[in-house]
Amino acid sequence: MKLRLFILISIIFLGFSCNKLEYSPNQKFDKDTPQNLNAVNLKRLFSVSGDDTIRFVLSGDSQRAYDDLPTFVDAVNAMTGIDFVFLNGDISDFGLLQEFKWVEKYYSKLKSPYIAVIGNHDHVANGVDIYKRFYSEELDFSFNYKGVKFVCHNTNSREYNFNGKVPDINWLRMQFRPEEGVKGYFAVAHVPPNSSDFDNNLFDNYGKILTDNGKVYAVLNAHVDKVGIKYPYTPALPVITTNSLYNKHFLVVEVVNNNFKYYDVAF
Amino acid sequence: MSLSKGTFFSLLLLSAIIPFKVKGQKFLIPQTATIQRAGSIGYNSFGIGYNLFANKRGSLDLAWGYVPKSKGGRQDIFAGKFAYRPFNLNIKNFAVLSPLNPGLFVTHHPGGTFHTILDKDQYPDRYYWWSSAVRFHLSASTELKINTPKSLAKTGIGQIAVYTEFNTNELYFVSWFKNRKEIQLGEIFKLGFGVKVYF
Repeated sequence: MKLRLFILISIIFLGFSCNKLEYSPNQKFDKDTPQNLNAVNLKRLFSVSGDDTIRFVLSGDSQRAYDDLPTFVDAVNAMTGIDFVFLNGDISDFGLLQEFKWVEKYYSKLKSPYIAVIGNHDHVANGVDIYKRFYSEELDFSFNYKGVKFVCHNTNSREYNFNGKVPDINWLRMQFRPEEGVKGYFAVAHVPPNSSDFDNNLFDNYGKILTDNGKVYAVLNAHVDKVGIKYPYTPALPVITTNSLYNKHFLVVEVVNNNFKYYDVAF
Repeated sequence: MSLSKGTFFSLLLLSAIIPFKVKGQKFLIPQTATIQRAGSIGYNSFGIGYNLFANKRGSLDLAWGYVPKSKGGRQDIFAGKFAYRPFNLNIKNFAVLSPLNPGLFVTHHPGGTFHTILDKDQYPDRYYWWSSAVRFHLSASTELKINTPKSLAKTGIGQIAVYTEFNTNELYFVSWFKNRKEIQLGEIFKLGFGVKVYF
């Protein structure tokens, strides 16, 4: 009798627990893992036609900030006219699938589509494969929105032991070649160029590409866990960092006509 | 297929403890064999084990597991598992139920994307405080050990056990600990199940 009960309970229990089966904390995906979210979200972004104003959120470092994410989502959802949200790297702390799943659970509740860029912590363990599966096969990608080009790229040079290939200078040179119909540019990446985690040998070339373009509004970064603006190249090229979600901050960036401004939001 | 350095050393370690009937070393002959599904040590894993302590309530298992590419790998995992069975309930002469068995285990993930120690030339000291290759797990299992009929005595199989095992690891634990409002404790415990043969 006891045994039958045990077996019955076990079967019920196993039935309810199927999504608790884990093959490894380092598995690159499971049966519920979403794919190509950046492409899906960009499609959503382009499907809505709005006014000429561009207004977006720059958030970053969602690593281990799960308790803060619902209030973040509520704060962004309460704002009007947010076209999209950047999640600018360090999505995860340990590069684990479970962390990406937790973050996605909250970010998917944003009313606006979100675009994720890779951070240095997302390079630990199988993080790069997980990022590629969730968000984008390419770590460097760009899109045009209302005449502004957003060039998202990997600046996590230390993770490649400063091999001279990250950031990809040749790709960036192509991306920042002046284009017809583009009134301005944003460079979006996790590690700021003036950080010790950025390849110092590429610092000058990187700045030259951005300043030569002449229409770059700003470099938008995260990584340093504080809001800041610096001008490591010229006074015309601000390098702006957003504070971490753990510290309950994000930035709102606006382009009205051809004027760019930003402000910090505490939530 | 080339073996990575990590895999090679892990295999070497395993082969060193794999038992041979050398005189006076009978204690090295495994007393159990295990096949497990999931439980954070592989899609499938295969292990050998030993009973510990005079009361045989402890156990030590050494396992190799893998996650195939189609299930989120390819990944090899080596595990060393310790468990203790404080409660053992006899169900007639048919079986013994061990309802709650706490345990600890360590897993090693060989391969190029994982580090055991950070490269000192690449990173400042303690840039990442944990090792991505090694995980420390806490576990709780339930085991039903069925006495095999006497007719099977010749096969050398003493009992066959089925078990389920929940586990979490230290990185899940710190993720939960700082986010107890949003993450339920149950979310960080992952499940596996298996069959264990006692010789």
